[in-house]
Amino acid sequence: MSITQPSLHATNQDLLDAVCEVLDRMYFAALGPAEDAMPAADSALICMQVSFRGTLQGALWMRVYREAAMQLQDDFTAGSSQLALDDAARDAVGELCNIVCGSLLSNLDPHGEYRLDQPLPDKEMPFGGEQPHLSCALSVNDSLVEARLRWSQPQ
Amino acid sequence: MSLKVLIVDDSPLMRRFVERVLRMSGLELAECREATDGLDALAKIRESVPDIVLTDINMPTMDGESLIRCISEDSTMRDIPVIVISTDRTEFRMSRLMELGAKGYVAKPFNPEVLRAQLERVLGMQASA
Ligand SMILES: [Mg+2]
Repeated sequence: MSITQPSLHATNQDLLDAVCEVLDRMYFAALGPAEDAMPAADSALICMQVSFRGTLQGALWMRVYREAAMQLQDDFTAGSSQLALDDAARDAVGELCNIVCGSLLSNLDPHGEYRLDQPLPDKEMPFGGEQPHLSCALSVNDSLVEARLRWSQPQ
Repeated sequence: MSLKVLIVDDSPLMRRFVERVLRMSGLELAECREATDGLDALAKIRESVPDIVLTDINMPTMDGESLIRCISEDSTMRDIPVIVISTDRTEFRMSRLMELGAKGYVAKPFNPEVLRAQLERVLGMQASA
């Protein structure tokens, strides 16, 4: 499988850095190591995926507990969102996924050219069960947030 | 100066966030309207001309690039400054958007100060033009 050069050098730390940068700057979230996350009691999971095409191709998938997603959307909009709670939580995770993806790709390949698809809800197990090339997990406002990325072969 | 702003983004959350940042930055807003994509934005501009348009790029129906092209090609709209707010900060995209007529570019994730600085720069350019 031929993977373009910048993606070959990408590390889990690059993905983690991108997630942290976005959560810190735009969601004003308190971040910590994944071990610090509290176990979520019966909270549903929200999984969103953003696919990208161009000089880099693949998909980024993120998973956030529903309660944590509510908190994120509340912090993001200072409580001014008028959406139904579930829509707002999905929008928060979708937009997070979108910004992290764009940010990571721009960092890895600033001379590249690519397009992101609209964020879409996804299953709990991404990429048809195939292993991700990059993954990271962290505690966000005491809740576990996970990100996984898989490169695909350029068409 | 009291500003009339049009925020164009398909994410309702992002529109709220941008409005919140504008209000936090101390700008006086006469009006802050929202549009969900490029087509919606053109309709809102025809209803009432804003002082500035802040637009996302990646949107369904009509994306930000097409919106900027339509604004630049319309003699009644071409003087409205457009600032792009997008996740894509590759050189290719930025230079392409500037060529199409965007006046400023703010990459997500951004701090409130960055958006304010871009607004002041672009509105300052307008005032001195
Ligand atoms: Mg968008």
